[in-house]
Parts: sequence; structure tokens; C-alpha cells
Amino acid sequence: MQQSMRFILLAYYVLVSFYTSPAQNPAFGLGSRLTFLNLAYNAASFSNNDKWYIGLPLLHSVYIGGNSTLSLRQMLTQGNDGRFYLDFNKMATDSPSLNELRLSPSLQLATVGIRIGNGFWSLGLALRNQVQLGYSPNLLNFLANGNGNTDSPIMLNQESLTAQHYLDASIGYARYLGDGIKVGGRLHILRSIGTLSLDRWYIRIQTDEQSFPTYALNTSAEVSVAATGAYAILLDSNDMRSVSPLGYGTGIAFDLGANYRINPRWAFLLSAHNLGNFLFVSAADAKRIYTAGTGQITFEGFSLEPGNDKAATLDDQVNDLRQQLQEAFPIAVQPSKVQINLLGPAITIGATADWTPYLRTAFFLQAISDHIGLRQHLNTSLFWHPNRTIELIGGISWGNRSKLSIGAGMVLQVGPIRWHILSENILLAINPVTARSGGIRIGISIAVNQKNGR
Amino acid sequence: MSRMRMKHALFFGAVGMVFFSSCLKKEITDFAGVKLNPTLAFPLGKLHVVLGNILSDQDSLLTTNSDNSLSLKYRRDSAIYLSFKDIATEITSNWSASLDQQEAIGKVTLAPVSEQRSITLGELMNNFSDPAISTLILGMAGNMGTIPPFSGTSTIPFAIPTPSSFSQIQIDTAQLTLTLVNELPFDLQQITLALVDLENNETITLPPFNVSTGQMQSIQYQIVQKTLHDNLALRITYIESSGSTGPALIDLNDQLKLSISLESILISSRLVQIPMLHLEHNAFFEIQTDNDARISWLTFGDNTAIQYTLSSSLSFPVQVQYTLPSATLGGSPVQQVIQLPAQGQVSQSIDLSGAQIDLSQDTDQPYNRIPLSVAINALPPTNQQVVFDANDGIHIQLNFAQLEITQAQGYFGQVEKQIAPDEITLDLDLSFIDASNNPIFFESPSLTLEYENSFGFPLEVQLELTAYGPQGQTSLLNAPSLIFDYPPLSQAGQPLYSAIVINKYNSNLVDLLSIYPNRFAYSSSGRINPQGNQGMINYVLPNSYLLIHATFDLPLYLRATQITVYDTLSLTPKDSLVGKIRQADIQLDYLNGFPFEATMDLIDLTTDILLTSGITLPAASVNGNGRVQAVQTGRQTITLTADQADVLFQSSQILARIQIASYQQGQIPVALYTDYQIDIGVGIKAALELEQGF
Repeated sequence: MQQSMRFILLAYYVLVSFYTSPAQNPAFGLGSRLTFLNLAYNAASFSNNDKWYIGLPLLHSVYIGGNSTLSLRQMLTQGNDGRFYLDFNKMATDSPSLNELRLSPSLQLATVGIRIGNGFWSLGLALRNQVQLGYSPNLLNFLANGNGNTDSPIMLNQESLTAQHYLDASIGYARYLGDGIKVGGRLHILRSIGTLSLDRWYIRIQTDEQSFPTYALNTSAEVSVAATGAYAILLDSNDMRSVSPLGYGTGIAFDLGANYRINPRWAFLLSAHNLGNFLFVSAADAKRIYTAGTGQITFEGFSLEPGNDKAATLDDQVNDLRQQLQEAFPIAVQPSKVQINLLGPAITIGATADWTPYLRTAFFLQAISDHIGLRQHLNTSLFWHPNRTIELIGGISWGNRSKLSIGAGMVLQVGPIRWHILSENILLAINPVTARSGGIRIGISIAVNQKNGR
Repeated sequence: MSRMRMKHALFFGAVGMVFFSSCLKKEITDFAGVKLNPTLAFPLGKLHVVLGNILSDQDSLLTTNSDNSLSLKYRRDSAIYLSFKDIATEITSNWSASLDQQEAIGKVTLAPVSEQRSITLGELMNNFSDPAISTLILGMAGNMGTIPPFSGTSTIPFAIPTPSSFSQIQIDTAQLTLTLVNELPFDLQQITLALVDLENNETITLPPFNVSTGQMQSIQYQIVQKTLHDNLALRITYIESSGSTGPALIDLNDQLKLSISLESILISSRLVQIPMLHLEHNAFFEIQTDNDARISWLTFGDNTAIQYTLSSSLSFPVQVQYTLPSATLGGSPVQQVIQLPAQGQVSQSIDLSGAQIDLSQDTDQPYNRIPLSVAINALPPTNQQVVFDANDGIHIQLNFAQLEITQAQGYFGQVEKQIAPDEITLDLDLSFIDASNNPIFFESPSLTLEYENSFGFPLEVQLELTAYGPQGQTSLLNAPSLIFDYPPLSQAGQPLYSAIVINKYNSNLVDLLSIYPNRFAYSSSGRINPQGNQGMINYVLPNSYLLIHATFDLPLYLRATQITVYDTLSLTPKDSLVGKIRQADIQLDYLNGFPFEATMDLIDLTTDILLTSGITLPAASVNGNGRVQAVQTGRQTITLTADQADVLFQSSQILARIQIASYQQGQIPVALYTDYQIDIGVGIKAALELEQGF
């Protein structure tokens, strides 16, 4: 029963990670006049023009999105039957030095903001998820070409895997300082629901033509995985606890920003998100799974050993391979305090230009450090706000990993009810085989807008 | 931007999005799965065979010798067992013993018969032939007178009292004694007497007497072949006297006293009063054989008895006592007393179970003859005459109804013994061997017949053994005559242990094995005393036996030039793999510690396509004893093209044709040891072309 619950929880987190995300194009939030999203990304102000708003719990903002360094076009090839197949060989050919497959859904559980004097306070509670897989051309080559090349080893040491599920409770405050300058900051209190990260990943596989029988795999590996919360419980068969919905460990993060409006048309902003942004989990709730060793792994295959009446079944073979792996790479699970570095700092610099009362253009450059390096986006967006009911959004961006993205969105407001739907890359819907990223955010909030002229 | 232009822009943008979406969607909707063209290299498996390990799991004929060499050994305990009963039956099968003998009572010597008869002078003169003398003397009766010389005869016989012991006898011989006392007053010269049988006038004239007066004279006379009745008389057939020397008193009552006696009366018949008789006869109860057997000692087994029938033609009962003087039963002589009534018949048997008979006591023929003593006690009625005939007697009929022996000694002759045929089927399925194979030549096969023999005679056995091969071939062993030693008489009762070895030097064993036999049929016949009577003493005892254990020892030390074996591998066609392999290189690494080289071809039986050929494992080299001294290692690469791989995947039956030859193509014998091993590792490097659908 305990074990079943673990798998149910794991499935929940994995599924949730495909549902939600926080990493959408920041420009959409920064430029929108209607959505609350600017709260999240307009670090210069951390406020909008609303007098107050309430994000409806669980309906306020749900994000589903992901990124990949390879498009489907780069992954697919047309077979002899005219149909399309995932082609690792092609992927390896088109692959850059390092690849990413990232899913970063998020669920804004609740949020509220209120203007008090010159200040704007905001409170938020979100379930954030990020599952990021980094893979190298070596891995693709291995999948594409197999182990037939006995002259050179297969090296897998660039792959990465992070799975992070955590609760984010935040409080923000922004204040207008006069002269067009607005500054703000936000404190995040973080609790880990479950995290998993590869601390050490090194696998070397050499197909041995001189072994007996030939083509055994000479392997050496060193793998270390840090797990907290649900993952720590799940991966340790001796841990009989249930997963706590309140999470484990503690983490903090800060966001800081400033907004300087030079004139009625132009405004500039500078923000830094995810400062700190780490989780510290004690040894009671965190474990390190470690293995290192070398060994020759061989598939027994058939055996004509006299007296052995029964040929080994597939299960026998699998068990034998597992046995060999366990002997070569004994796994140690040890409680260990873990510090998890969440998504790295994100620096955003940009400008907005209000051409007309109905038309705004935003330009931004954002750089985010994550586990596989620096991710950068250059974006420009157009916001058309013809009346108080509707706002249409379009944008184009270029990312060093996701390449070209074309975003689009719409916000509708009827009375105090505000509904939004935004996509950072509608190319995924138009041309899913060439798009490398995609995401969609929808939500409903209640907001009362007050024109305060600042 | 005008509102109309914006609307147009939005419209065409939406149309374009739909167009692109519909065009490019095919790559999503037609997504089929994964396309892989990897080259995978992985071990297919391995084979590690240590010959000893194979054998430890097998319940086979293979045996590991102390030096770890291997032999194919088959042992059949008690392959042939001959018990005493089997042999004794054969030995005695042509023996017979019977006796049909007429034992006559023979001539009987009667008790002496003695009778007195006095003839007075008056009787003599009354019947005297010379009347003058008769008248003279009769006239002087009571007076003194002188009797002149005279001669004459008596005209009447003087009856002799009737003897009680017979009425009539046929005298074979008898001693007649006649005593004459002359009480007459004158001397008698030349008085001649005759014994007259008044029944048949048989007259026995006795020699003349010369008896002076007052004197006595006896004469004896041998009667031969005379028949006498009990009505006898004496007749004076001549008398002569010189007369009285002077006057003498003439008394007519003066007597001439005659005393007649018969002694040693040997009679052969007639009516007579038989005395108590005791007759003994010796005979031989001879064992007849038709093979010149000469038996000097026997112990009869159970159920051995002499059946006899005694018939008597005698007119009086007899008591017959048989005695086998050379036989003892329980330490006592074998004898039996039979009461046989007059002219009666008795049929009975003499139980000889367990009787021991020493037939060597007869110096004239110290074998085969059982002495038989027959003692007949005649039991005539007392004081009663019976009809008697010397030729009457007892008819003796003896024979052995069964002749079982538990021991025998002597010379048993040449006896043939057929031993029941039998078969040995080896649990070997050799049908996989091609009939056209060159034979395997085993270097040192042997068939050892270990035996325990406690029979005491030379035995020669002719073994006829035929081997049958899996293809119906036959081969004869042509074994030599098997001579079985036996314990001498001094060690009788103790089995002699020995063995007879049949090998390639004295038989056709090597060629016989070259047909890969899996069945042996054998029969045999034995001959006792194959050299005839060499003066040795044969014997059998109740616990004598011949037990033969056959051990077939086939050291796996052999030469094979070309053995082709076939094996059919049944496969499940895997059509799903067809077209998935562009090329496959199968690496076959071997360490061959067997002194055999093997070349294998794989043929698809469905299409008759040769998949691979010439996969060769060279033989390990051997030393002078045939033992491996250096293993062979190496690698064979078998390349399967895409077409060959497809044939393989579509095949349901693969024929493996394996040609095997011993080291250097069978030129040098090789031996098999348990520590021989072979290691084969198989790996495959396959260039795949996979389109795996989801």
C-alpha cells in the first residue's frame, strides 16, 4: 500500500510537471496592460495598474509548456512507407553540442494583490515544476548507431536530469519613488515537494571485441543522484513514510527590479529574478544515491551448457543482466543533507514603447542560467488594446536553444472578471515539426482597475 | 493601421495559420515510430563443455577410468549361468541303467537219505535164480550144513523203505554209499547190487562186493543224472560164493544187512522236500552311456530310485535281499529285503536318494558298474515236498526311473551343452550418423568374460556373437573357442576365478565395432571334455556352477576419418525480422580442447539454400598416447548477407551437417579424457534497419 501510494504520488508530480510552468516569454507579461502577469515579470515595478486583484485558486494561472533544442523536423525522417519515424541518426547529425528537453509547467494556486498608498503588495502561492533533461550528441549517436563501433568508447558524461517540484509562497512589494522610477522586491519561501538531480554522471561503454564471447560491454560509471522529499522516499525502499503535502526543507529566493519611465512613450526596466533560489533539505528528508564501478556486462544469450535442459528465458536474461549490473555498480542509498539549486538567476533588461494609447511595443533581452548553461531570449512584442474589453498580443523571439518563437495571446475583461490565454510560441501549433518550444497559459482573475496615472 | 486593414491582416493570418497547420500536420498524423539503423554488437551466447561434467549427468555406459580416460563399458553380470542342475542334466541325459536277469534257484543238495534193508538168507534163497542151491540151502535150514560154491541172482528186488524227503528227484549228482554186513554163513564174492527205481525201472548197478562172512564192506558210487522216485529197491543182480568152509549152522534168518545212503544229493528238479536254502548272486548294475563316460563316483539326488520287479517261478516263497555293496546311504549299505511269494511277483522301488556309490571298487572295471548282490533265502514249507526245478528262480528287472545325481566323479565324456541365445541392446541412438560414414576404429576394445567355475571338468564354449548396426549392418565377432579353467579335484567345492579376454588380437572385435553397433545377439554352445579323455578326473558337486560376467570395455581411444552427423534445428519463423538486418557478422571464438576437428554447414531445409559453409574448428593436437597436449584457439567469422539473414528468419528448419574427424584426419589415434573441454563464444555484430512503430 505504501509502495502504491509512492507511485501514485510520483505519477502525480510527473503529470503536474506536464501541465504547468513559469518560464514563458516574459515579454508578454511585461507588456500587457490587463494581465497580472506583469507582476511576475515586470520586475521593475512588481505591480500593475489594478487597485486590487485576486487570482482565483487553481484557475488563476495554469501553464503548460516546454522547450527543446531540437524540433520535430530535426527528429523525424520519412520511411520507405511514406510515414515518419523518429530518427536518432538525424537527430545526432543536427544536434548541437548539448541538447535540452525541458518541461516546466506551473500551477499558480492562489494570488492576491492590493494597492496601498504608493505601494503595491502582492502575495502568491504556486506549485512549480521543472523537469529538464540534458542530452548530448553522444547519447544520440549511441541510440542511432548502437555499439557496433568497437574502436571508440561511448562516453556519456554530459547528460543531466533535474526534476524539481516545490511550493513557492511569495510576498512582493513595489513602490513608486517619483521621477518615473519604480522599484520593487519579492521574497519567495520555498518548500520541496520532491527534487531529483544528477550530481555526477559519467558512463563509459566500450564494446569489447576480444571478450569471450565477444562484444561484451566494458563499462565504468560514476553516478550520483540527490533526491529530496517524495523522490527520496520513493527511491529508498527502506523509507516507509508518506509524502507530506507541506513539503520538506526550506529555501528562499529574491526578485529585485527597477522601472524607469523616461517619457510617456519610453520606459526601461532592469530586473533580477531567482536570486538565491535554493532549497536546503536536511538529511532526514534527503538522500544521495550513489554508484561507481567498473564491470564487464555480457548478455548470456543462449547456453548450450550440457545438463541445462531449459534455455534461459527472457526474464532469466534480464535478471542476469540486472545481477551483473548490481555487482558491477552497487547502489548505495545514504541520508545526506542536500542543497538544491533551483532555476538560476534570470536577468532581464528591456524597454517598452507606447506608440498610441492602444499600441505598445516591448523589447527585452533575458538571460537565465540553468543546469546546462545560459539560456537567452531576445524578444519584441506588440500589444494592441483597442478597448477596455480586449487586448491582443503578438510577439517574436529568438532563443539560443528554442530558436524562433512567435507568441500570441488575448486577454478579455468583462466587468471585474479577466480571462487570458497566451502562448509564447504559436509555431508549435502551426508547425509543430519545426518548433522547438511551446507553451500556453490560461487563467481567470478578478481585478479592479484604478487609473492612478503613475 | 486602419481598422479595416487590421481586420484583413487578422483574416489572412488566420487563414495562413490554418493552411500551414493543415499542411504540416501530416508529419504528426503519419508519425509511425522510431527509425533506427544501429549496428549492434552483443554476445549471442557461449558454450562451455567439460567432458567430465557431461558424463557426470549422464546415466550412460561411459565410465571414467582412474586416469580420467574414458571408456564405454557395459557389464552384464551373470550373462551366462550354468548350474549344477543344468550340467548334471546334460551329463546324465544319455545315461541309463537297467538290469534284467534271471536268477535260477539252481540245483539243491538234499539232506542225506539213509535207509536200512536186511535180506535174510531165506529171502535170498527163495528168490534165487539157481533152484538147486536154493533148494539145498532151504533144505538145510536149522541144520548144520556145508554150502557149496554157487552163483546166481535174485529174482526179486528188495524194496527199500520210502524216503520222506522226496517223492521224485532228478539227481544231478549224488554220493551213494552202500554198506554191506555179511551175517550169512558163507563168504560172498562178486555180489553185485543194483538200486532199482521201481517207478521207472531205472537201475543203478553198483560195483560188486567181496564180503567174507561176518565182515562188512562199503562201497561208494557216484550217481549222475538219474531220476529217482521214492519207490526204490535193491536188486541182487549177481551173487557168487565159494560156499562155507565147513559145516555151518544153516539159519534162514541170517541176514545180509544193507545200509544205503545218499549224500550230496544234488538235484535239479522234481518233487522234493526242499531244505532251507540261501543263495547269493552277484551282478552288476551297469550305467550305460553313449559317450564313453566313465563314472567312478556318484551321489544320487532326490527322487532317484531303482524300480524293480521280481518275479518268482519257484514253488515256494523266497526272501530276496538286494545289496548294493558299493553304495551307502546315510553311512549304511544300501540294501532291501523283499518277500517274494511262491510263483509271485513284487514290484517296488529302492529309494536311492542321497546314496553314494563308489564305482571304483571293481578292479576289473572301476567305473560305470554298480555291484549288486542278491541273496535269496528259500523258504520252503517244513516237512513238505514241493515241486522243484533248478531252473526255477527269480526274474529280476531293475531300472532307474530317474537318474538324478548330486555329485559325480570320473570321466563324463564329451557332452554338448547349448546355452540359450540372448541379446544385449545398448541404449544408444545412433540414427543421426550417416550410413555412408567411414567407420570409427577403436584401438583397444575388449570383451572380458570373468567367470567363476566350480565344475570339475574342462569346458570349451563356442561364442557366436553378431552385432547389428543402426543401418541394419551386421558383423560377426569370430571369437576364439573359450576354454574355461576348472579347479582340480583337490580343490573341489571352491570356485576358480579367472577371465577370458576377447580383443582385437583374437577376434574381429574392431571391425565389429566399426558398424556402430547398438545391439548384440549372442548364443553359445559348450562342450565338456573337448579333448576327450585325457585321464583327468571330472567331477560335479551339488553347488557346482559356472557364472560368467561379461564386461565390454571400449576405451575411447580411436581413429575417425570422417563422420558426418546431421541434426535438424526446428525454428519458429520470425517474419517480423525479415528485412531488418543489412548484414550480420557472427564471430565464433573457440577454444577446442578436443582432439576432433569439426566442419559444419547450415542449410535451410525450406529453400535448400546453403546458409553457411566451412565453419571449422580445428582439432587439438595429441601426444603419443592420444592425449591432448595443445588446445586450439581461434576465431571464425561468419558473414550473413541480408538475403541470408532473411532466409534464416523465414526458415522453419535448419539442417546442421557436421563432419567430424579425429586429429590429423584419423591418422593418429586419440583418447578421450574427462578434462577435455571446449569453449565456444558467439557474438554478433548486426547492422540493423529498424522501423519500430508505436
